[in-house]
Amino acid sequence: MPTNLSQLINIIASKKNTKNYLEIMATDETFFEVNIPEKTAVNPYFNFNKSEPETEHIKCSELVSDIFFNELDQGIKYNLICLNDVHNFEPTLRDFTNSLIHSNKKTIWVINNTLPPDIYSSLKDKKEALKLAKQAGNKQINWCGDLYKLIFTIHDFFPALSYSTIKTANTAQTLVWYGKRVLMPRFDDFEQISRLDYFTLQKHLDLMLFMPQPKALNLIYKSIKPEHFVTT
Amino acid sequence: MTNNNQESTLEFQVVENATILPCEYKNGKSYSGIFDAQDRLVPDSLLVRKDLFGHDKQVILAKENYALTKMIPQSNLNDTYIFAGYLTGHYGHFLIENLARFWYIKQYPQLPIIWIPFTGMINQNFKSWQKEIFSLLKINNPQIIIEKPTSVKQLIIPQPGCGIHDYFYLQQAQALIALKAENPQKGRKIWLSRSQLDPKRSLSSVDNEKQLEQILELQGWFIFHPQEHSIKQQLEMLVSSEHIAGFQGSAFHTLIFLDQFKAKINIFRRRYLPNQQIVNDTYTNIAKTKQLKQTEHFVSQTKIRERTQNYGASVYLIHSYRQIIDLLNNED
Repeated sequence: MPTNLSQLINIIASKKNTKNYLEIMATDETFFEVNIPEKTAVNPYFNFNKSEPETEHIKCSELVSDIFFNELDQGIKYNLICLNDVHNFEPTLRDFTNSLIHSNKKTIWVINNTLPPDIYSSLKDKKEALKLAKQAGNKQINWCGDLYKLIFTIHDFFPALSYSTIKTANTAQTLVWYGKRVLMPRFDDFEQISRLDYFTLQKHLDLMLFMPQPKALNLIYKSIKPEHFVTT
Repeated sequence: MTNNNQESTLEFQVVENATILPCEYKNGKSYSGIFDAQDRLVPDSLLVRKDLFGHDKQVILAKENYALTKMIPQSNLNDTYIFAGYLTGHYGHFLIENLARFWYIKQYPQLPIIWIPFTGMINQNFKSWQKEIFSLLKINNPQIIIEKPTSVKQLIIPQPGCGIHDYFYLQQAQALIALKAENPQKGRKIWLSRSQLDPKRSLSSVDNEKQLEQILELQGWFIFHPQEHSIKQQLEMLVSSEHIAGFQGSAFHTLIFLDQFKAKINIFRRRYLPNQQIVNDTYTNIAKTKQLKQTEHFVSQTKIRERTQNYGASVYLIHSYRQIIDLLNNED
């Protein structure tokens, strides 16, 4: 059953004729549904038997992403990179910066879980989030962690990248691509971003650059910047 | 001392008119020692550890120039005492080194015992968990902590019954038994976690242990944080377990208090030493003497942070969780 995420990736891949794909913290429900000829999945513990899908063009690396990137040939570049089942700001920022080295000017990133639907889902520690949500009578939450900080970091510290965020039922996915923006940092302070919480996120939601999927995709296809930041 | 885990009989020596010098820290080294009536050092009064590769590491050195300066004892004890060792607040070292002479101490509950506080332990009383261990082992001997040069009329210095990466005598193992293990309960799997230890106070940690624990929980493992519980509670948790596992750490030494423990034990080394052959090791020695069903594993890992004074722990990154989960499942 294709997920929102795999559908989105397939739409981009088909339009951009994407040849290769990297999925960090890959899950079977996304990785298997993505229709791209060359695919690499990375996860220190796959929820599937990795030897089954592996072929000459499909690679499954059962490693933590830091080690995967550390061992990856610097010459390998990916056209589409998905940071999928990621939840925490610092390790995902490292994944993101690691992946920049393995990108080219046409690379597009899809980052999952960028908008926590409630305060519990935004907590850094999953166990703590589930415990507190349960105490408050919420039996199920869609834990996203503090990944929203990565989007604010991209906004303030990566002005050579453009992005937009597409809301889904329980969270959001942020698309990132090469495209210069005027640098207008909101926080300009890495420590402040690192210490953000759910309520501060709500105050600065405009930085997520929400837009409907067709509009976001259109921006990518034309490789133009979101209108808020049109420059150069 | 040769590696001797089994039947040999431990020995002791009696020193008449002994002088005990407290521990002194100088230029990164600790100096102390016990001297006889002729001012000769009693070698067994020092503390020697081995490293994993079999090399001696003198932890407590003889207090230099003692014989020349003839330090005057500031206190006299006119009776018979047993030397217990160099008191430390580190859980693992306390269990292995500080309890090392208890094979003898337990036989003479009426004799007072003497501790020399290890560097940094001066003016500190026993920690609550140390008192709890004395109580569990039914140790009621009067205890004296030496903080100034002291002469003792008669001092008994028992040979240590265990040593770091060196040996663990059967006689010592028997003296430390506090509780008989129960029959293992099916499915009772305990992961001895280090993920919530204070990194400033522990020697090493695994950066992604918490993420591994999320998978372990889904596989039916109970994640246990020993430092949050009393020793009694820890033993209650372990006593009927079917399988225990975790990254190498002092929490596994708690098993020395259990008799006839039947659970499977998997210890994952925190260090990856691909080119170095371990000669001897504390965990293995304890397992051999106590006949534990213990297996130790090396899993791929990278040291991502060196131990420093400010941060404390060395930090390791485990490369893959699959390797650990598969090893554990193969045991079940």
